[in-house]
Amino acid sequence: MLFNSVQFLVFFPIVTFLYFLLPHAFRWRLLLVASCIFYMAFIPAYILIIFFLVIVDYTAGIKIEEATGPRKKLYLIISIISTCLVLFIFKYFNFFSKEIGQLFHLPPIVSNLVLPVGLSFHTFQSLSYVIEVYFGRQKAERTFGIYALYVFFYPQLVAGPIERPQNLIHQFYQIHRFDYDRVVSGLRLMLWGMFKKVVVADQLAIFVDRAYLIPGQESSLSLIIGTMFFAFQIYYDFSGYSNIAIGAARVMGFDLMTNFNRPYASQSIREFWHRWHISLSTWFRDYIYIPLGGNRVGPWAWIAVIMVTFVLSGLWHGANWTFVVWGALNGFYLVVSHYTKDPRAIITKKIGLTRFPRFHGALKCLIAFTLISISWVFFRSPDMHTALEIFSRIGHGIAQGFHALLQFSVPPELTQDALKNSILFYKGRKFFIFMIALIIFVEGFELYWRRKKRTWILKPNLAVLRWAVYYLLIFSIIWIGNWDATRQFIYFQF
Amino acid sequence: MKRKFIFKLLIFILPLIWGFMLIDQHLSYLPTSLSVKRRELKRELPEIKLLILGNSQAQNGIDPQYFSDHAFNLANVSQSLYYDEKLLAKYIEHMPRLKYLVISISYFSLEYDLFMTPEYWRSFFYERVFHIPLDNWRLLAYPDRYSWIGLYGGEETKEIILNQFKQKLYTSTPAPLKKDEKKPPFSDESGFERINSHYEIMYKKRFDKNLKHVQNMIDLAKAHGVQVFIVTTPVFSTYSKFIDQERYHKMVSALQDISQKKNVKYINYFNDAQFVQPDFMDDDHLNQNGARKLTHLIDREIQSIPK
Repeated sequence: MLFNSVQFLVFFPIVTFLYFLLPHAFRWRLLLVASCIFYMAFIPAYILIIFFLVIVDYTAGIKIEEATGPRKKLYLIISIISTCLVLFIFKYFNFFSKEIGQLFHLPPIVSNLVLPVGLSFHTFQSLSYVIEVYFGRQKAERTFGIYALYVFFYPQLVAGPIERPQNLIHQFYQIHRFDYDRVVSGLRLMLWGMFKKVVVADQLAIFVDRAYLIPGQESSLSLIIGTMFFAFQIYYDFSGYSNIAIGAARVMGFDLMTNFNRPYASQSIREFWHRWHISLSTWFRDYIYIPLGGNRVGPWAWIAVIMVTFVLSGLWHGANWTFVVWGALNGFYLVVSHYTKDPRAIITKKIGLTRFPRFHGALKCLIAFTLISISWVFFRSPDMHTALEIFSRIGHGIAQGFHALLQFSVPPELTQDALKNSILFYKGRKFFIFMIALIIFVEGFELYWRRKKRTWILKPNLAVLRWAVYYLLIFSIIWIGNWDATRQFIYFQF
Repeated sequence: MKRKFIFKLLIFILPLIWGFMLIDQHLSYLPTSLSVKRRELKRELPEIKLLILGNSQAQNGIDPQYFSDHAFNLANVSQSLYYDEKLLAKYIEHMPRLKYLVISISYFSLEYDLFMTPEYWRSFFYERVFHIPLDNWRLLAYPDRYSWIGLYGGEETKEIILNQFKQKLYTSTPAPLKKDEKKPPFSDESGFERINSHYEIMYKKRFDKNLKHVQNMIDLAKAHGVQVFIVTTPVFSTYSKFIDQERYHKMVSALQDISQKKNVKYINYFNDAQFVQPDFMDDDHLNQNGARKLTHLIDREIQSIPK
């Protein structure tokens, strides 16, 4: 069941109402049943796959805790292998089969299994549980239903945030009383998330889909704008989902981890990865990067660790070379940024940029955003050929533009006719300007919201204004949203 | 605190519910192809001597004005045999002059299950307009059933609101010819696509149940002294060349068998050479010219039967 669907509009109030109606002892049971229903709205039979994972990791957790010596590690390895095997079969089998087939000139073995929704998310959540139990940082959960709920918990079941057992499991034992402010805050967050997804992300998708449909026929301007719009589309789509998930959990009294922290305000790639998909990046940091040595190893080993971490992160997103390259490129950015830190500091001081910290900060943001957007080309492209074609066209367009500027003439892609055929005017100039305005509004609002913990609009005597804003958001969601062909969240495919 | 929240929530959502209900109510007043047809049917019930049932191939391909007797075309887009039977059962008692029943059965009709298709929502229109119960209990779980906004869909509703709730619809006669319909826009490619789209709505398991609907209609008609004609409307070669011959022959033999047993006439125009390209509006639907031709042929068959 999608968050932006009529079914969820019915499901959520009923489950929440029953949650607060029932005594505490029954609440986790209700949530477990509700989460199963939520998941079965996709492909019902696939719930058996998650239950398999739940049984394996629940048993492994107890065995790991009770075991001593090498058996402890053995149970951990068994659990990791079975979990990863399920992920491999459903997600990576065809990819590796095709690549091996091409390498050895063999016909590939094709599997027709459909990837269960959210498999990548709950396998990682399960893995973090067994690893934490192994290291003694989490007690093995003895109540099967509670552990099942840890994996199944519907707000974060299909696209995260990827929770840690220390953060989530104990919350199922706590009594959550109805709290007016918390409930309203949760609903407000859900509304905001829905607005970002339905009103902004889905409309940006119109431009992005057009630019990436037949990129060979698009101008470099269209491709650049399409890519920049994709940067915001994927951010609003995913952060919107996270807002809804966190908001829905908050209504019932659960605190899920923050997943995004205004990533495009980052002044470096390193900072970006502290702000983007935080639950996944911290997962890779804690379970891949640090165990491989982290920053305690020598320079070459550190480079290898970074690249392995980011390549795996890319692969996690999808079974395609484009995701691998996307991950590797981000790893490369980090390595280069690390080793050019001092020379860059010297240069910026010499040219006097440090005397203008705000301008310097904005420039760093712009550079970081540009680098990230370049990597998004790989993320969005269906294959490497398309990605390279896009770069080729962009490069060609920029070269043509420079050539024209040097001759004091209008670059060919900035002529009236060229602009009319570009994605700028695909849905009309006004709509394009409206989308830019929306992006500025959303970014501005989130910046303002972060800086002031309780904004002036939350004052009790401004209830009418607040409600007017809520109605405006709801109306825009209903009117602008396409409820017939409900657009799936981008990260559902992972 | 809980009470305060519930009170405020109710106050907040009341205008939204009111707006929703207002739009829903306005949508319920909009004429649909079924409601227009029902209105015309009710007006003509006492006079109808010939009734046509079937799907869009009959709706477009049989023109009631060309029959010798007063005819009414109760066929509709994607209408299944279940709805043909239910409509007949509902109105036969109110047609005292009814003498002939033409049941149109297409290549896919006997394997067609409306519930299993993307057009399942039509079941809700039959339920609301003709009060015909749903063919499948699982449809009760569909939210579209419970509101007109759900039935029309979000995009259609928005368009209707922007058009101030005005809606244009065609009536029971076939759609008029387009002005420049010289070269029909169909080909092997379109025919292949069309057949594929029909394969997606054909379910072999449904065959016997649909055949039972045909038998029931024949029995009901005969019980009221009505003569039945089963007709398979013509299709163009771009469609017929891609059919599954085995399924086609199974359909034809079943209809021939039933017509023999029940002493009714089955006329198969599927590959009839009398119908040429200018008679078709697409690969499997006749245009007005073709409808006139087919109707005359059926009428001749009807009139040739001794009274």
